[in-house]
Amino acid sequence: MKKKWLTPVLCAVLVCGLLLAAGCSNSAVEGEDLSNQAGASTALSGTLNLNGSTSMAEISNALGEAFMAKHEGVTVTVGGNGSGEGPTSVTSGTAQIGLLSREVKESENPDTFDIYTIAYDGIAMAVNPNNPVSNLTQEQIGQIYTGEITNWSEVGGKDAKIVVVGREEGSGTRGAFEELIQVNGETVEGKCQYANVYNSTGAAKQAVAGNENAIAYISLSAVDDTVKALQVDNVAPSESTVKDGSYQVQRPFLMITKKGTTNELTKAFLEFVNSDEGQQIIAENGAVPNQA
Amino acid sequence: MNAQPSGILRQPPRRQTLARTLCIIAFALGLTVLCVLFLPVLNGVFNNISYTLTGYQLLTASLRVNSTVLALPLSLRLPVAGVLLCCAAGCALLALKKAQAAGALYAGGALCAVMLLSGSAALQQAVASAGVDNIALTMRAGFLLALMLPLLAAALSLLSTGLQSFAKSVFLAAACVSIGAVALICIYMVLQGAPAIYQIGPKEFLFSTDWSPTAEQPSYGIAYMVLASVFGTAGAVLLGVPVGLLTAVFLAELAPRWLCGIVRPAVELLAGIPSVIFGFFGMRVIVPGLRSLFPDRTNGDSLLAVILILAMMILPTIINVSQNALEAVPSAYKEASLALGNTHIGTIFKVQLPAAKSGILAGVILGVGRAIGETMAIIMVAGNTVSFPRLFGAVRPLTSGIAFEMGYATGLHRQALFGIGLVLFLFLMLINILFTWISKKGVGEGEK
Amino acid sequence: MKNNRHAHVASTLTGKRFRPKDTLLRALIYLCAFCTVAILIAILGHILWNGLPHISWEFLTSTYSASRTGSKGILPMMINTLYVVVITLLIAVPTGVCCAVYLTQYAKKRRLVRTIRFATEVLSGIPSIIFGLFGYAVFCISFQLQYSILAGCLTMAICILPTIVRTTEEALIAVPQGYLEGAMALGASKLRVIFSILLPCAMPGIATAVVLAMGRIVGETAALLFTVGVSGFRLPEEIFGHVMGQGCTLSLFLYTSAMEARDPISVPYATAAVLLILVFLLNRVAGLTARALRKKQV
Repeated sequence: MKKKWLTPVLCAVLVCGLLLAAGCSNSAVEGEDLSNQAGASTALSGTLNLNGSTSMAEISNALGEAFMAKHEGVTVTVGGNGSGEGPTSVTSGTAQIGLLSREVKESENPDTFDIYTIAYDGIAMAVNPNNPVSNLTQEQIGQIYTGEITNWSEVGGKDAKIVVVGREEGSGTRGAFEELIQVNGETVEGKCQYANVYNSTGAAKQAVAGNENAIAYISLSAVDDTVKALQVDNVAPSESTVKDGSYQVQRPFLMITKKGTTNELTKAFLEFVNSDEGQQIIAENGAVPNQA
Repeated sequence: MNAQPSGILRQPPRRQTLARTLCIIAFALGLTVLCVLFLPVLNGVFNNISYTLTGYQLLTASLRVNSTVLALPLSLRLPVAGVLLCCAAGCALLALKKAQAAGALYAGGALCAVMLLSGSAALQQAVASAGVDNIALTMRAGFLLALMLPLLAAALSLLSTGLQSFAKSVFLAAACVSIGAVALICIYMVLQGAPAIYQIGPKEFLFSTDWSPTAEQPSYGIAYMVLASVFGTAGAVLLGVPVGLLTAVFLAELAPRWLCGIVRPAVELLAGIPSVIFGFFGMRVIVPGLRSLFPDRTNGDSLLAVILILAMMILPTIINVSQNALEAVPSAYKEASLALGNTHIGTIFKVQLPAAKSGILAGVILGVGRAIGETMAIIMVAGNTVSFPRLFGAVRPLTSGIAFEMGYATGLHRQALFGIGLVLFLFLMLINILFTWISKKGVGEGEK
Repeated sequence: MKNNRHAHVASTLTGKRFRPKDTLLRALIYLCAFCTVAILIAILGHILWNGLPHISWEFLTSTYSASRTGSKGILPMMINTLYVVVITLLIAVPTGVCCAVYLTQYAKKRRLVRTIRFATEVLSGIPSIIFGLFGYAVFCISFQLQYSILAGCLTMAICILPTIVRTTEEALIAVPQGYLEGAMALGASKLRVIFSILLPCAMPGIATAVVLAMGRIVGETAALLFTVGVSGFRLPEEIFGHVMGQGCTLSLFLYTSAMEARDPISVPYATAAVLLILVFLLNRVAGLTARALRKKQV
């Protein structure tokens, strides 16, 4: 009878003893440095994740595809639902490069990132091609968005209610727009009243294209012939007016990484973006390259 | 059906030997799990420096990363301890000849090994916050052993009690998955959502109308979203239930066979259409249609569009359930009514429909549940501004509120979205309970 | 019709009270039935009319590129959908069938049965966005699967579990008790009865449930939106490794393509048409399987 109890008791004592011994010691584990190992490959490989602004999606996709064509083992994925996602995904590590179409806000801890401006992009005020209005002042735009001007006839158009369309709260385009446009010296941040909100540039553009009385702010690189881009303070938006600063409603395209990152792939990609080929791709996709 | 492998277990003298062998193997396997202490379990490459951790080190040691000493997170240590304790207890129980309980404990040990995965996630976060950006974590042989050995030991100790009870345990485990899933969902929703609601304040969360989570002074008030959900569902029910009910009447009572053969498949096809397609149809047809019908009053994306789409979506549910309820009404009622001089239509409306009342109500509640929970279709037609729901104005119901902002929400904002999910979840559970109660009552009434 | 004769007799007996109202109601009923069919025709017609012309062999077999001038094909999305369906079924069907077998064959304690049934009912009532949130919190964040097909499959498996359990239970209950009793009288053990008689007899029902579940998985979006992610447009490089990466499915692609409006409008229309055809094919196959297997039994 004694023998039956011996095994389980021995087991329990063994395990408890181990755990106790475990609790007592407390050593720190050192790691083994791999960077000097022979045979480390020099070719780039791995996955690079870009996350953030939808306004930058086209440019980022084009850059990513060109980069992948140059380096065989590399995969570049571009995702995101708005500039708000850029800093958060870089901090959490789900993305190596964050995309923002506005400045990094104070609340997002800009000191924890390395910020690279890769291009400048105008924010076009898009209206339906059938809308007779072709010019607005910044003040008028602000008043339209805060609800002080409600009818197109007040700014020289038809007698119709203005349908104010905007982007979702995490959008860089919205953030940049609301910080730039001022009414009576104050930015319209937090004061805009939207009739409809969409979570991508394309959807906002489609809304304007389908409604004669709608107005929306979209990335200049997204303007095509389904919408008409208004002149702001008598300056027409184009790459040249953005470059020389006369079209004031513009914002930077940023790529951010963790401060002091040593990721080979990230550094190689950023180098590529700043190279001639990268800058040309940016220009082809409608933004103004930074280095040019 | 004679000489089968399972026949071995049916011969009494042999069975005991086999059972004992299996027990001994399971016991040995349980003891072997101890070797996880000495095998590499986790390997992490942080900024080109490789760290290998054995089970023992996972329990006791800490990491030196970037010249800071990082303590291993508790969610990494506890599972290791859990695996060891469970296996030890399992061995003890095996020695005491309680094979089934031992099997359950071994399975618990395997579950703890799975929890190691979430521990490694916590480690990755801890290392990332220590300033490392090149992180690659892989599980090594020790992890596989910690996972496989307890599972094998569990299977063997359960098998030693006989193939029949082994099968029964497996089936029981599968049955408990659904309980486990519901429990897990409840726990997670509450864990993620309740702290947010508590921090924001339940009163402000539920009743304030200001939803501006990214403003300087963020405020999280979902009252307008709740109203949008309620109005949208109410409108869908007002529109969908009469049409659905009358169509069910048509199918159950009035339709000649050839017409039934057209309408019935049509209803089933409608039931099978995915909700994205409803949303896409709404976006391309209903929204521009509303825009051209009422150019001065709406931009198209509006509560009205949401109501129309939701009504279309709950139509098949209502038709199916109402048709079943109508066909379940005893024909004696109908014959009696006709014998008393009532017309066919009169019979339907004055006798059959009232008799099928509870079944139809159950169908309506099912439809309501579906309408409140619908996301994809309405996010494409709703306009998505948080404002008081007007028929021709844009709205943001609860579900699309979650889906719209989930991508970029952080911190309290994200937790607030989980809070909305919790509110939705509780609401739907209430509806579910109502549904069960009413259908039970309906059975009772029908039996009368 | 006999009823009309009743109606005529009734109206002559009780006067002309009921007639105009009756005709009105009858017309209303026909109108509602017509509306239902009209809605279906409107949706099908619009999508197929605008989508079918753009479905070409090239569209179905080329890859997708998000840039303006890239190729717009949905092959990666179809492969991803296949992955999601197969893996979800692999996880959910054995679990669901075992659960149903337990509920019908083994469960003696009333309380446990009631709890399991209640849990299954609750699961079937939860909207898919809550599953999506839950899957994101548990599988993507806690288990560190990030956006991956595996996380999406685990979430979807929980989503369709109630359907499979319920349908399998009905199929199992429909097996005549006589078969089972006869087999047990011949000396077969319970397990043998289950595997050689019960399950094969219930196979038509189970097969139908599986095909219907496939239809549901293909059309599901909200549960996958936060777990699979919307940026997976690459063809799988390794068969098994692809499971850990992102993979945009057909319905997710339809959603993003329609909402972001970056592609010409023909792309979402064609995707919608493909999705519709796929879902209808699956439903049809379900009906045919049920009929064929039932015939084989008889």
